Amino acid sequence: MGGGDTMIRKGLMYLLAGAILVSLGVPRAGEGAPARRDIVVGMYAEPDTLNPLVTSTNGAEIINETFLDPLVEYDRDSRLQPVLVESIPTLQNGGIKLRPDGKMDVTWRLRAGAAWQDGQPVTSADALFTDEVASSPKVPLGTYSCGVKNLIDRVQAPDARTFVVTFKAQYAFATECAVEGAKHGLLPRHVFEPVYRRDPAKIKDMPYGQDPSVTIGDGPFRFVRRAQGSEIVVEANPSYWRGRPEVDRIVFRFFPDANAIVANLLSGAIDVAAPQPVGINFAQALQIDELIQRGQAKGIAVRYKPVAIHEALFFNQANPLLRDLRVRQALAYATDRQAISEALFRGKQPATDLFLPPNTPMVDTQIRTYPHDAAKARGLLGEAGWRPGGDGIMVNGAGQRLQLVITATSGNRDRERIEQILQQQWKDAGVDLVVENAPARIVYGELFYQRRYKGVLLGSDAFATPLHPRLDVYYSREIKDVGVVSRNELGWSTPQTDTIITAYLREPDVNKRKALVSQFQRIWADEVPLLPLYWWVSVWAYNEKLQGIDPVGTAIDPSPFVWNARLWRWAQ
Amino acid sequence: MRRYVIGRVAGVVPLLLGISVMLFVILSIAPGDPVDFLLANNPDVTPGDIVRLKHLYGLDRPVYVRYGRWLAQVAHGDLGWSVNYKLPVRQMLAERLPMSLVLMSAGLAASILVAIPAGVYSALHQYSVFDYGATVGSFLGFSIPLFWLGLIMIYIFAVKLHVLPPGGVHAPDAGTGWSATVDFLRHLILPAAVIALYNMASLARYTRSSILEVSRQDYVRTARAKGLTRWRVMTRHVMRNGMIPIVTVLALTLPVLFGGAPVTETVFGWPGVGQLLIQSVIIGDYVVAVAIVMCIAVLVVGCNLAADVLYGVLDPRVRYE
Amino acid sequence: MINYWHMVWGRFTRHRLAMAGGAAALALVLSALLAPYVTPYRFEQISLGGLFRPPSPAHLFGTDELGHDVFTRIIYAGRISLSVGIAAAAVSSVIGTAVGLLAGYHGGLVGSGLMRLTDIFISVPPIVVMFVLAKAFGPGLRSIVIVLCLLGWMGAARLVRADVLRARGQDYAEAARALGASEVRVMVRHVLPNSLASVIVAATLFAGQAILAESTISYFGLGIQPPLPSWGNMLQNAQEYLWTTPWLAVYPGIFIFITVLAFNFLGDGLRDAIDPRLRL
Repeated sequence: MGGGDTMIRKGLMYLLAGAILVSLGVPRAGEGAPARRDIVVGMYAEPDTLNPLVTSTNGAEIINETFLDPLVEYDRDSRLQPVLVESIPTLQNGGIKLRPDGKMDVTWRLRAGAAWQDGQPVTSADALFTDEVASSPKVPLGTYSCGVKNLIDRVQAPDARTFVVTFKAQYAFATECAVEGAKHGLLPRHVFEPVYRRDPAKIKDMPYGQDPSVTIGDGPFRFVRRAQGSEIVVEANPSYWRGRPEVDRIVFRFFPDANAIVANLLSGAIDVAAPQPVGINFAQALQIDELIQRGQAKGIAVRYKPVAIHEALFFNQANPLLRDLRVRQALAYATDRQAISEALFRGKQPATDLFLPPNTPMVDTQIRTYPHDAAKARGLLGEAGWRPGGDGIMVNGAGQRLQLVITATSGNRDRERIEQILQQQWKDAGVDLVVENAPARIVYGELFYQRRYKGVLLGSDAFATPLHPRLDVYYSREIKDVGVVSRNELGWSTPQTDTIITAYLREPDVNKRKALVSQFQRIWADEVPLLPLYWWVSVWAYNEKLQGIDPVGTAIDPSPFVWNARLWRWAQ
Repeated sequence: MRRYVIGRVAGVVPLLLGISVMLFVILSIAPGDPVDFLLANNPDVTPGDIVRLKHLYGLDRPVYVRYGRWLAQVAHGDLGWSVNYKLPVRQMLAERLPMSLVLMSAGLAASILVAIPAGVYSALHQYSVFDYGATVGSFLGFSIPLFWLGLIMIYIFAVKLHVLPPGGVHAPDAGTGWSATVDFLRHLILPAAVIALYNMASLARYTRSSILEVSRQDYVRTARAKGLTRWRVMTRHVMRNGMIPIVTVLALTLPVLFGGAPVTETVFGWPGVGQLLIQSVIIGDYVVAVAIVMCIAVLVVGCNLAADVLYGVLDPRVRYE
Repeated sequence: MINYWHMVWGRFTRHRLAMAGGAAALALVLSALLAPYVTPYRFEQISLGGLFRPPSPAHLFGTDELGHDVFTRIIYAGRISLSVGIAAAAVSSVIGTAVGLLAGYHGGLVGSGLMRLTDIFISVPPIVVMFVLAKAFGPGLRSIVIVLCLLGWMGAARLVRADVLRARGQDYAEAARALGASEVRVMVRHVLPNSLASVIVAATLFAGQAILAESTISYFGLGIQPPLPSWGNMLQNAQEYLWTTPWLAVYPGIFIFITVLAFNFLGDGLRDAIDPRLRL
């Protein structure tokens, strides 16, 4: 054959050699290296934009928190603490004043020394502007919406550090979000106002989150740069009023799927895997745990922390089968919550019967519970007029089978698994459960809020404010016709709960509020309008040498884990 | 020659318009868009907010209005604004296109380097063990599910052996300069290998059959009979004529690569155009999806056009058909 | 005619790879048809006491995160994937043949219009078309079949149209027309049988591609939804547990691979058997 063959052969050899060389790559920083001054966080959901007025991703909320100080925040005991303000306004300290005309004034005083990173002081004008721009219909406010824009009458600024928010009526949750758009802090007026005044539609085109000269914050870190599709870098702000952060830099890296986060964590390329829903999910955390136990994941730790969200089964009272209390109680007995928690989460997302998270101030643990008992379930169904049919499924006098439809957001693997487990568990009690999932848009847009879900809905119930549980959604007047948007998606209420809720919303005294909430919980437990399954647990994995990470798990999304990022540091 | 080219080019415009109409209609009819996803994320966002946002982003207009707007925008060079990414489409494409091109070029180069010599060797040693093995290998190549192959390779090389990174473009501690380049190359290996493997299969087969077909022609026999050495015959006659269909297939493979990359890019987290396309289709950000698909269509049609013209240059018989 | 198929069969049986492919395809189809008899469990049956079990005599392929028997699910997933692929291949071949006949017969505006349509579909890479259509039609079994049919009719259409155009110019067609046969009769009695062979080959090859396509779409969550098992969505599931139970990802992938390979070998062998001039 001659020249051709040998040439080809040589070429292939060179190729192979080159490939080997390249794959050996660059040696990584070894153990003898000096102490690290940066932290790399792995996240799954890349934020669309960091502009608070435009973003619709959870990832943005986390990253923004490193360079935008909130006005208030929750501490480990679910108590509201002041951050950018001097104190939390209450009735006792005069911060909240009820006016004779029914309106409510909430007075906030900004801390002295709070300043934007370009030197400008944080003033009440920022608060006024934040409220104005976030309330504008021309601004596409998404995840930063507090939902208070229609409740606020006006906002005034008597001096540079004070602003007064007047609510149209008494509002129990006025201190969580001072003004509209202030969910995670105030916006720098001097950056946003010029664009807003010229043309509000251009707000979405602002390079806030791209250009460091525009991305001004008042927090412990300073935005440095963003590489689209890859990472966002923030640097320590030396003039932060609470003191300079311990580390120099935090790098948020984005990965296309949670598995990649795990892989990079195991290889040491990242230091922290962010918690749900922006980082690893439970399945991965459990696997990392197992790898740690097998000794295949050195130097990594996994932590779990309960958050104030429970996964629950919602019963639609529009379905006549579910209007019968005995049926609901039977379903409660038929459900083995412990088994679900064990199978899917190794028990780490604990099963529950409670209305509120166990370690919060308002919880009442003396309520009625429903331990798993299939026999009791069948007994109750028998009382309600159901007899076992030929195939094991109960039938009533009219020959109707006890069939229920369960709906959940499709694509959510954990929910799909729960549904399968429930199918089996409820079959033992004689209930035929049919699964009809739908995309989130339909589930929330139509089925849930319009009470059109056929029977049972598997979803989550969040307690953003365990200190002030939102009982007002259980008002009877919140029950609208099927097909109309209502806040009482269960269609459940009782005359007693109505009275309790009215009294609760008006009650300024915390202890009296607690008694009322207890009463509510007892009735709630007896009535089983919804069946809680387990508490969500925030889970994150990190390099053991990293100290200080301590997610505060009370807010709606279990991800405000950067609230104390300024305290994160490497152990020596 | 000119008439041939003009005729080809003129046929292209209505084709592209037709594609855009079909695409637009299909994607706009598909329910679900990025605003709908907001509802699931934030309980404070009310259905009223959703209506307002949809109006702000122009998502509630009828299809023909949106198409007209889009066409006008494109005529001005504005490819639209992504509701999901909150960025202009043009900017995203500008960032991602080089990434895709690097990946595709690497994959294509690797597949050419392996497939063509393999195909030629197979053709010359027909029915040998190598030939048989190469045939089976080709079949393996285009039967394997790409996403599975990617997953397995990540598992073997990144998880078990720890020699290559599990996806992405660069490691956080990559540094700069030479080490950054090496790091980039390490990230390029696996996805490029997957792309190469897939293309090698058909390319090798095609090369083999093309070479075989040419070497059976009369003029080859004549050349040998005239006393030319086998090598001379190979390079002068067989290769030159055998390359024509290979060039065709390569030109037609390029567009397939544009399409084949989405799955590979997604599995490996390679921030290219393909990954953006899949994400946009899944989440319903149709502006981006339409823009990308139209770009691909333009490229495909352009490649076909170029191939036709090249064919006309290489083989004068074609021009007068 | 009989002699011709006899020869085809002879050539086919001598092609080893094609025989292997055919045997494998047959085995898979049989297992799919006989699924309830071959599988020891029901595919939706969970067992919370036996999660993530490795392969054992009780569970040939082990169990998954809910205690499903993986072997059972693989067989049932095969049932679904195979029926989707074969149905799509069959239906799209029929549609494609009809379109091709129409286009070849009518020529003119209808013909070139139809060919323009196929051009449009072919200009955009199939993967892209696949995702767009899958999104448009929504998830589910019926949608996937529709999507795959829409992807596959072009191949048959082009083949048949070319055959029709070629046949119209042939001598025997002229002769038949001279004898008074209508165009339709000519097409059905002369063109169709000749095209049939190449359409069958194309359909076989497309079946393999369709199965690959379905598993890709299902892997991305746009296709067959759980609890219905499909090899694609089983892979998506397995991805979550790649670290501790990697074998869950191996089985669905291997089955997809083998099935597609089988159909490819089969189709290739058929092509060689039917027209050995094409064999090189």
